[in-house]
Amino acid sequence: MGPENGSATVLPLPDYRDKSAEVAERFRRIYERPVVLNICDVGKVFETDRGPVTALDRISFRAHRRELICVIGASGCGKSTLARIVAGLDAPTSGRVLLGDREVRGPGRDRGMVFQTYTLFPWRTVLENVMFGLEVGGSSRHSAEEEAREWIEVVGLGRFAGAYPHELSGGMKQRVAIARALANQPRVLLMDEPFGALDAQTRAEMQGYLLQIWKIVDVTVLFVTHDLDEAVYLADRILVMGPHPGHLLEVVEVPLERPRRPAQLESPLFLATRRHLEALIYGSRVRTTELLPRFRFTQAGDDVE
Amino acid sequence: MLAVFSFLLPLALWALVSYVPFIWHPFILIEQPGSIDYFQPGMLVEREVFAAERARAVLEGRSLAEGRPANPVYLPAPHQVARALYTAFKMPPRLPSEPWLHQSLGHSLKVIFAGFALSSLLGVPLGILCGTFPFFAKITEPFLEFFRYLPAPAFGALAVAVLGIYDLPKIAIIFIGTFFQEVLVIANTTRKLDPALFEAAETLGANRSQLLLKVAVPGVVVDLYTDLRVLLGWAWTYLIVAELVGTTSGITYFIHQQARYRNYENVYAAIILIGLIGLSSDVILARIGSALFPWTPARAKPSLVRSIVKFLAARGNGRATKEQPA
Repeated sequence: MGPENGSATVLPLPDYRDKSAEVAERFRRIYERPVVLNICDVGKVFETDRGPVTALDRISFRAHRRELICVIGASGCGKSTLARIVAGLDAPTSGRVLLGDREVRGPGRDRGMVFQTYTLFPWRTVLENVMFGLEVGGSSRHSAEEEAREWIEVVGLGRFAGAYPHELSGGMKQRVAIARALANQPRVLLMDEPFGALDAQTRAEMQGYLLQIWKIVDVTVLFVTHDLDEAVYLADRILVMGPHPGHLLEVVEVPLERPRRPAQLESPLFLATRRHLEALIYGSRVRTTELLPRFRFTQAGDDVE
Repeated sequence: MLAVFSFLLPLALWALVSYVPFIWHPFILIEQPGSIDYFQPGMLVEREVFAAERARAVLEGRSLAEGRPANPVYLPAPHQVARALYTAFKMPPRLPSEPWLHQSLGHSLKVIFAGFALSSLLGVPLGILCGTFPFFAKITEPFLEFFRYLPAPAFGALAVAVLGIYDLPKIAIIFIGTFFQEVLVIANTTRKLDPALFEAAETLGANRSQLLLKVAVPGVVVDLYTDLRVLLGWAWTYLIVAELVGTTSGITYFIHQQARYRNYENVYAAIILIGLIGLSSDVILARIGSALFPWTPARAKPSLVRSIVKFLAARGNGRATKEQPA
């Protein structure tokens, strides 16, 4: 996917740290906002048959109110584990997660989550799915329905309120999942590779939807992905993680202006940021496919390559 | 279409053996005893014996016995069984104390229903509980796993000693035969529910009882329903054994009695009837199921009627057809 030029640079790219005054001002304002999510020295060790495996090694990070944070890294760097710990689905073995000034102990309504797999309840309609959080939170059926309808409108699926999940496309399911999570009005929305199973076209649409929704809702987003373009396109800041054990490599401030537009995907600043992330995550391993032993299983005369 | 064929094939085979004289027919049904003194009209004689007697009669110039090829008495022809099916509901039983076929069947249904309802009443909740919370699974499943291997009929004598000789021990055997399987099967079904659904519910604020009632129960109800249909088949299997315990009763009593009278067509009629009841109840339950659970995607199994309608609609062009969403 990345540009082909290695050392022979065609176009001199700017430094990814070169922010316009406008963007720098934006970050200054973000850091003035209160800290919503405080991840302090979080570590996670899994006990396996082959002994303990460290998945996360002392991660510390603070997210400010209404920030959109992307977590990125190669597979196995513990980025999903981090999201699950913030959600309360897994407990850290060391350190702690603070939401505001309260420590996270188990899942709760103040942190919504959208999973990579489709987790809509198949026996509930779109409307009933979105009502779930409100129902278990003790809202009356009437007010829950009213609120749920609003959230379904927010994600643009008003016409499908009565549909069952199996009648929806993958992208629509994830939009319902977002509405369902937001209906509880959580302070943090965790998204664990939510668009990972979608095709490229739908994924791009969903990124647009997410940015629109995020703009009108008071919520801090922690978005896990392995797609570099997605991370740069969406995030205010990017948590870049490395594997074995999962640790924080760098927190990158994305120098792109908001509102984001698809045209920015080709801007030099975008490419510079992306190149930097690539170097951080894959280092020298970029596009080194090991040579496979040479066998030939075809009799066809013409070589394909 | 093939479903109908799957029934026609064995039926054709049965008709072939019954109606084509040179296929099998190891006996001769005597119509005219002739000069052979121990032959009687209506008697079945082995083909070789008949041939030998006939040859001897020919040699000695005596009058010949007449007969036609026949199958053993335990293999009645389809039409005989069909007639027996019909008459079983119309003809009073031989002895006034004996039950009608429908009474026997009714009694069997009562026993099977009681046994199955009792086992489901306890088994379904316990199964879901075991499947949702590992704690319950750990304290019950090893024992159930052990008990499941004990054959239910082995408890026959015990059941009679404790519960008497009438319906209770029979219900108990059906219960023992299905309950233990049921808990384990349903627990497994529950465990197969996507754990991400529970996690999603937890992040939405559901507590333990809400997880159970709002996720586990509705989440498994479709598969549970299918499980119960399969388990009902198990209950039928145990019915026949159960009815032999204590005083023989129900359809088993009818079968035994008719076999004793050598009315094998009635025996077949009763066995076929059990099959028909089993099959039709399953089909009906399946229909009810698809009406009960509107969220299950139509399982791409177009019915014969629907495919004919589709075909006709496609020919009469211009007419819009409403397709089922895939």
